[in-house]
Amino acid sequence: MAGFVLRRFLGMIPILFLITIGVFLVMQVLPGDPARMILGQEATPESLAAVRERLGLNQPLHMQYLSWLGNVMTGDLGRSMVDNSPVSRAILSALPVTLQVTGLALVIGLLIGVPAGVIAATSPGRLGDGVATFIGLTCISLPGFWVAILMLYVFSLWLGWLPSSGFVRFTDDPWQSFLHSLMPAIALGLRPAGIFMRLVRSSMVEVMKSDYVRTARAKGLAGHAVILRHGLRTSLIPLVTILSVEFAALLGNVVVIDTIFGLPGFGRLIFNSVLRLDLTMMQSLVLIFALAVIAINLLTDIVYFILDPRIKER
Amino acid sequence: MTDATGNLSHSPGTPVLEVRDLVTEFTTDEGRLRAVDGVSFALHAGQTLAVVGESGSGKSVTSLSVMGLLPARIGRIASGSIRLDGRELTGLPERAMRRVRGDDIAMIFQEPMTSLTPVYTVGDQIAEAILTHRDIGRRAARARAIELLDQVGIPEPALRARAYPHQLSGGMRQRVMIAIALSCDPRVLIADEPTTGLDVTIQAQILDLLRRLQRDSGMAILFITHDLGVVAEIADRVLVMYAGRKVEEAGVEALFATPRMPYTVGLMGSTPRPGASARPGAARLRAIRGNIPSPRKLPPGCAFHPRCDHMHEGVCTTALPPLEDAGDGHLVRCARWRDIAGVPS
Ligand SMILES: Nc1ncnc2c1ncn2[C@@H]1O[C@H](COP(=O)(O)OP(=O)(O)OP(=O)(O)O)[C@@H](O)[C@H]1O
Ligand SMILES: [Mg+2]
Repeated sequence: MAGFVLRRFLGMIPILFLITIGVFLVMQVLPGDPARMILGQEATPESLAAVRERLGLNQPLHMQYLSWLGNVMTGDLGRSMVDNSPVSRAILSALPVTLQVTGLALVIGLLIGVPAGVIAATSPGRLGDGVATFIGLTCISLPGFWVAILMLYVFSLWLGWLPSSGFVRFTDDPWQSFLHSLMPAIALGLRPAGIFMRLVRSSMVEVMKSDYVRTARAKGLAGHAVILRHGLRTSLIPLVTILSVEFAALLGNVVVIDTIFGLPGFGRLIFNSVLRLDLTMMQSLVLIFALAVIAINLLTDIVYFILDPRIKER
Repeated sequence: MTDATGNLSHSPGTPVLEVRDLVTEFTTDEGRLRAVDGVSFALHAGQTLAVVGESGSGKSVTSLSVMGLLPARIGRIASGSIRLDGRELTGLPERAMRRVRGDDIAMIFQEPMTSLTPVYTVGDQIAEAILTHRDIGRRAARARAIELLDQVGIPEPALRARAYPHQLSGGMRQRVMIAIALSCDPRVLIADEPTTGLDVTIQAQILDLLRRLQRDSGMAILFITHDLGVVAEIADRVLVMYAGRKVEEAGVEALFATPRMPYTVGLMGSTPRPGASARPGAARLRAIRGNIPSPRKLPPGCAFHPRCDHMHEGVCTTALPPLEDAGDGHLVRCARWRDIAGVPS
């Protein structure tokens, strides 16, 4: 196990390097002079030169890359071009918010999607299948922002059950924190719920016809043991792949959700940095997203390894 | 077990498994079809009954009916009786049937490569069967699983118990399936083409194993196969099925010596001589001209008549011939068996 994880991890290092180079270069080719952005249009040539000197913009490209990479590796992502505050601080403050909301969204997706998929798969063509499939399809087709606004209207404005905006940190008040992230997570999680449902349904319908499920029945196992231990357990393997893809997709949706619910998460950072052309912030966010996707892939491999013994041979 | 005439006698006492007039139907989109139509047989302890017939003749459906494993909502036992040690199994609620399945009646299948769940060790899969039916601890079940692996001839059983199915060969996996089937000392083992798809030496080993296990435990075996070479090796009695019906049944020697039903003769024509062990491929039953009819539209009269060389218009084409005793419990369903055999009626 440790060897497998280490191998996978080492295998990612070249990819990590390519990503840092890519991120760095993209920022280089973007139009705009960082020094002028910082100082504004009225800056004197002398002060511009001074800022360029301070930022190392006169150095050859590879030197700039290396010094940037060195800083990134020590956790220094540079300073915001807007207010000169450290980017890493802003990211560290937004990270838990986004992780909590997206994590909860995935949990909600799984809690709805997996049971619905199992019900649909074990009653193909019958009422349970119809209802579950309908719910799944609804989840996929409803736009997240629309659900978000509808929920705001019903649960915050009308019923007053849930806070409409803002965030409370988990460490400050877990319950309030949960309440604040609930609606954003539902809005984000419905689509994955529908996708998980359809995936579990389709893979489990096949598995339930398989020879080994017949063997499990022939052993005299109870229906639920056949379904859960032999049917669902092997159907989980394709779910892991989709889970990682959907998580990456969730990260893309946080801009809208953070804006609607006023969450101080990654979505807000992205929105603001684009609005204000904060290049350092954008660069760091792109880097973090790429790292997140890589980390998720590594995690997926590890979960695969745990779920499917056949992988060990490869 | 054989009497003076060389035929297998009917064993005394009640049979372990007795199937009488079994009718199994499927409701499909295109309507209802009768996959098994009035099949009866008796299976005695320590005896092996082989069921042969072409693909689609209803062999598997018969065995799934006995196991209570017909596809839910589609398949049902329309009538007939299945008795295990005199106890009626048809109409038993699922909970009660579950206690029979895997405990009193166990089953192994044709596809050893795919019949084990890929994500659990074989030891766990055997232990699971034991834990389902016996009130023992996990540890004891594991130990018993290793014992069983040893019994079915798997070397280094303690090590193999921790292997996953994909780490074992087809023959090994079929041994594991047999270990699962034997885990609760069943009275009846149903083997649905357990050696099809395995290579010949492995086939022979599996047959040897089944014979040895039967000798030790006295279980009855219902052995389904395409392969008359295998029948000759393992069966005491043979039941020949055609289009969901029993068309001939006899002791194995009698059947091979004097097959009565032209269909059985046709099957043998396509198989190596009895006694000679089967060669791969050669033993498939394909040589009879024409195809087995769909159970949806069976020919009137004897279902085999369109393919039969002895067919007589009127005699074979109108009424379904009854199952007649040709002597010594040799049953045959053919209107013309006396003519064909030269026996005066
Ligand atoms: N699930 C099902 N739904 C509808 N019809 C079925 C189903 N299973 C079997 N049948 C029908 O029952 C008939 C008998 O099938 P069965 O599987 O018992 O044949 P078999 O003798 O075991 O053949 P094989 O040698 O190919 O295994 C076939 O005509 C088939 O069409
Ligand atoms: Mg079959």
